[in-house]
Amino acid sequence: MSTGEASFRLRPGFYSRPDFFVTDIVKGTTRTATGTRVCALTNDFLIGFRDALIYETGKSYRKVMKRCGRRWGEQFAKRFEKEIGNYLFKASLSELSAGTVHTYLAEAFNYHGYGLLKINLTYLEQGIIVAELAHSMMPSIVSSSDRPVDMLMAGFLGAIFSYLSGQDLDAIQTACPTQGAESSLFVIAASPWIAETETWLLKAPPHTVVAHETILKRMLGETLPGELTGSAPVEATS
Amino acid sequence: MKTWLSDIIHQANERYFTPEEMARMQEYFSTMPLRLQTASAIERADPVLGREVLAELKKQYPDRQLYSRPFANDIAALVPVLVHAMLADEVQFVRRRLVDHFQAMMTNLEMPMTEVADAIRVLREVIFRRLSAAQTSVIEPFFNALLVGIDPNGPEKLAASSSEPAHEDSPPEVATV
Repeated sequence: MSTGEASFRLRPGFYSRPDFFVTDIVKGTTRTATGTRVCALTNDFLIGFRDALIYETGKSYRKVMKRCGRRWGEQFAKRFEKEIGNYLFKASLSELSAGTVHTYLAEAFNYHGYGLLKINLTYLEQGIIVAELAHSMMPSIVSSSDRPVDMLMAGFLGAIFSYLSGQDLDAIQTACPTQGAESSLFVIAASPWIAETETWLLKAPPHTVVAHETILKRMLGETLPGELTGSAPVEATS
Repeated sequence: MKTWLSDIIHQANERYFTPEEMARMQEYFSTMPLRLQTASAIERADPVLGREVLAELKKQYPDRQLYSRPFANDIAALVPVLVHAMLADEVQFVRRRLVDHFQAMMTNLEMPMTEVADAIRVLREVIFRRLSAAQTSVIEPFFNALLVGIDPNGPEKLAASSSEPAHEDSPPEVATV
């Protein structure tokens, strides 16, 4: 993504256009303005999907869920490029400024019902992006858990930012409403770095919440490798 | 995006309209000829709007680098949304499609809101020159809603509070990044 303002265009919002979701009751289909077919997934479906994954894959369900999110994000990113880059700006996303892309990405989340997305680029120079997602789907259907539950969205965000940056990025959820946070927080960084952080987090004592700040500080090198501080015990598990 | 009219129809569902609902619709339909005339007058000006807006911007703000031909064309391209909002008498169209989006965009790009608002004021001047007083009165509240939304401290604040379309709604929810 470009960081300049040359690509700034003052177009009306794309996702708020009245015809963004159009239902054809003769065909029984709903499509976006660019013709992509969409359907609504209810909480019942998501709960059933998650329960079935846990039943079929056991402890591996977290990895499977994240992989599902990654595949979904890869497809979403291509559609996002088609909608915003090709359709609206007649340019590739890499030619648009980061602010433009992030604005449209947040609006895509709003209008698809994925939640309220805020992107924090404070640590961009250190190779880290922090994303905050309020009202995300999975935390809303899991009442409580001893670990973050939004692996689907972690995979999704990792795939999207990989596509946008052209680098192999991944994401890890570092705060979750099921553990008392107000919204989900994700740290997005190079895949090996995220994998190493996930391995480190697995060493945390059971029923312990490792704070977002603790994870971020460790990644930024402000705490000693292996140090697990700022943790708080939790009671509920899932 | 729903309008106040579609909301009334959804809420009435299988009952007759209430007197208040009927009064609101009658008031609206009585203004439709004027709204349609205004839309036609604005559409006739469309081919030259971008050029005239740019010329006026260069004249009023010769030092501002933001005001280019593509920028002026984008400013002119906002007009159809304002016209649709006027035809539907639905200020939410302006808030959802323009205000929310611009607020997020300008915050993320650290754009000067005043410069964008000034360009929209020039667009308004260029259009109003072509409209009668009555035509101006039906489109003006939607320009004001846009300007107040992106430049809350601008001179339209008072005008907007007195000329807000009859149907009020909740405050805008801003998409923030």
